[in-house]
Order: sequence, then C-alpha cells, then structure tokens
Amino acid sequence: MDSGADAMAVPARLRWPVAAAVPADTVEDEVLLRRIGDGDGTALAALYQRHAGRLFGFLQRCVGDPMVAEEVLQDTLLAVWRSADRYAGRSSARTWLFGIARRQAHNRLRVRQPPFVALDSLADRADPAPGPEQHAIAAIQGAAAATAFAGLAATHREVLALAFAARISHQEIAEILEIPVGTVKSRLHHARAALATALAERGYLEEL
Amino acid sequence: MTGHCADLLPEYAAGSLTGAERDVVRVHLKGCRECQAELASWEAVAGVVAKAAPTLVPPAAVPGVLHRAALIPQPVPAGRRGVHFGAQLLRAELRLVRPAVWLASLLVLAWTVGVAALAGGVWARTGLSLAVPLVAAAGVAGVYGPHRDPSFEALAATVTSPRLVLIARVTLVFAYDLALALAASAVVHLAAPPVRLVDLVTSWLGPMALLSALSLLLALWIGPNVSVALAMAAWALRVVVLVPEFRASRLAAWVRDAWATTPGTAVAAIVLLAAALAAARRRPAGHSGSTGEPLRG
Repeated sequence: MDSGADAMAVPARLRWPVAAAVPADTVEDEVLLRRIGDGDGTALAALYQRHAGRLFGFLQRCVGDPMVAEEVLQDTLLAVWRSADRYAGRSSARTWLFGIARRQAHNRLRVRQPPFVALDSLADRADPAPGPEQHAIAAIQGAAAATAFAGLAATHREVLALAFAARISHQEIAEILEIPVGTVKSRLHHARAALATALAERGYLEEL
Repeated sequence: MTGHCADLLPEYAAGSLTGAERDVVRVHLKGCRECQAELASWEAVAGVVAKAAPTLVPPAAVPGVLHRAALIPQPVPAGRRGVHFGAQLLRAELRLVRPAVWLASLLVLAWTVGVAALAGGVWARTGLSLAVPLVAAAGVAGVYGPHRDPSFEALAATVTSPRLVLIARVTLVFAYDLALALAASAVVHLAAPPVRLVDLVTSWLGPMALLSALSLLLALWIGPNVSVALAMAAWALRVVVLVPEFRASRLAAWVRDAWATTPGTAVAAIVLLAAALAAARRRPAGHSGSTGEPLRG
C-alpha cells in the first residue's frame, strides 16, 4: 500500500515520517490541533498516540464490534484531520476529539445496527457449570460483562464508556454529550442500575 | 455525611479524579462505611465496563487516514457552503437560462427607448413605465418549469432543490432586467432632459416587482403561457386608465394606486414571491407525473 503511494504524486499535506519520531510529547493537545490544521501529519500521529487507548476503548464499547470500532476510529481521525483548522478552542482538545468520535459512532449506528447478537452466543457458551479453574471463571465473567453491557441502552453504554473506559471527568463528559453535569451524574446512576438488572437477569450477582 | 463525597465516587473509582479532590475522597473514605460500599459498587461497574470489550492494541490508523484524506476529495465545508455555493449556482444557472430571454428583454427595451427618446417628455416616461414591467414579467414567467426549460428534467434529478434553482434563476433574470431598465432610464433621461431620473425609475420599479412576482406565481401554478397572458391582462388595465375617458373614474384611481411604486406594492410583491416559492416545492404546472413525459416545446 505504501509502495503504491510512492508512485503517485504525494500532496504536500502527506508529510509524515514512517518511524514513530514524535518530538511533540511535551506539546499541548491544542498546539497539536493547530499543527494538524496546518497539514502536519506528524501532529495527527502524536495526538492519536496520546489518546489512542482511551479513544479506541470508548469506541469499542460504543459500537460493539471491534472491526466497526476501527472503522469509526478512522472516520474520526479523518474528520479531525479535515476540520482541525476550525477548532476554536472553546472546549479542550480532548473534549473536541471525543465529541467527534461520538458523532461518528452515532452516524455509523444510524446506518446499521451493531452486531450485538453475536455476543449472546458467548453467553451461551459461558453458561455451563462453574469450573474450578480461575481462568474459566474469568472468561465467564468477561462474557457476562460483555453481554450485559451490550444489552444496555446506547446512552448508558456511551456514558459508562466515557467515564470508566476513557476515564474522562464528569465535567468533560458533560461537554462531550452537550448535557448538564447533573445529568451526567444521574445518567451514570441509571446506567449502573440497568447494568445490575442486566447481570441479575443472566444469573450473575454483582455487587452493584 | 455522604453528600459531597458520594458525588465524586464514580470518578474516584474510574481514576479520573486528581489532586485535592482525590485526597479529600481518600481521607473521607477511611471513616465512612456508606461511601466504602458505594465505592465498591462503582468499582464493580468499572470492572464490568473494562471486561465489556476485549483489550486490543489500538490500530495504527494515522497513515491509512492520511492516504484516504489525499485520495478522497474533501466535501465542501458547511461553513463556506453559503457564499461559494451561491456563486457557483448562479454561474451554473446563468448558462441554463435560454439566450432568448436575455435577447428579447434587450430588444424590447431598446425599441422602447428609441421610441421614447423620439417622443420625448411625458410620453417617454409613460412608454418606459409600460414596457419595463411587462418585459420583466415575461422573462420571469419562463425561467422555470417543463415548458420552457430544456434542462428541467435533468435538473429535477439533481440534489439541488427546485426551489433553490428557481430562486437563482429569478434573481438572475430580474437583476438583468433591472439593470437594463436602469440603463434605459438613463438613456431616456439624457435624450429627454425635462424628465427627472428618479421619476423615470419610480414609474416602473414598483409595477415591475409586483407584476413579476404575480407572473412567477401564475407560471408555477398554471404555466408560463397562461401566466404571461394574465399578466398582460392585468397590466392592460394600467394602459386603459390612461385613456382620457376613463382617467377620472374611481377604477382608474384604484388601478393607478395598485400599479405604482409604494410600500404597499412592495409588500404585495413580497407576499406573491413567498407564495411562488411555496408553490415551487410542489411539482410545477404541466409536469404531469414522474414517468418522464416528453418535454413540450
């Protein structure tokens, strides 16, 4: 794929080193965004490297399927690349980034329903008698968690993923979701209750 | 004593709390059973969320994204769409308005100016005031619809809304006729000095707007041919009241008020224009069915 690109006339905006030479480790996100707006591919790489784990974790839980999550991640980065010059600094760079990711995930979910059904088969497989091995128990719990979580409403998945997978503060979540902080807190409580119900229905008693 | 602290526990469990707030919670937790239980609950939630998806290394997405950005053309940003799109639309529609529209307006007004300049004085003003509104109304009536627009069917299949196309064309034709009429007025003013330029312009401006709006609405509603005929009939009243026998009648006064440059005619023209735009949403007159009826000349 890269060799094919070499054959083409490479536009000026396509300047990024193949090696992970990111000198921008100490630079603020907002500065990186400004550089991205100027067409600096290394700045995009640096910004992504900084947020990749949380962003991908959030999208995986929002969208359900890892493959779809990866596509949404790419859509998000493309949107960041193309609209960074319009970032006005009214919100933090992270808020802006996750706001874009959330919109891209919504767009994707609107097009087609996520394949949550596939996860149900995991639960069936996990249902048999609890074995003595720690490994098996961990697997069961993981599958139960996945099915219970996947069965939640999209708003609940979203707020839980932002708070616990991306570990974003409630104030920032409020900005990302464009709702008051109080609503973030109450939504989290509702999500917890829904999660407890979902786990109880599957026979897993979690101390929620 | 849970109030303030319980509020922070989800963030504490998630690890997103920093500095002083985290220390406050930590100290408080030591002595508060209630908060300890609440924290355990949120930690369990955090555990479930952590297990809800497999722990995968985030993909190396940036090179692919930059390739895509270079290969796929960027859609026009929403913010810049207005001005750029408007200019593009006007330029595109300029080519789609039939040359006859431009030429007919020019010839009729040139002829009028010639006659008016020869006649001079009050007659110059009268001639111009009678011709300009008719020229504009006839031009506007034919800009849109299946009858007189060869590109109508092609346009109907594009994403640009019919109403937007209509607005663009009416703007073009009306602006063109307006410019012609102003030029004609200037020529008549120079050729027949006693008439003031302001008087010349006000003699046709209001009627031009009102008659054009009326003819546009009728064209969209019934069709351009009927529209032009009805507009001419309405305008004929204005000519009839010039005849000395009728000049003093009540009808004549009413007609003169209707066809004049006043705030009233401006408001009436705007109302008719709005009605025409509302009508453009539906299928234009004469376009029967979506099955691709052949265009009529």
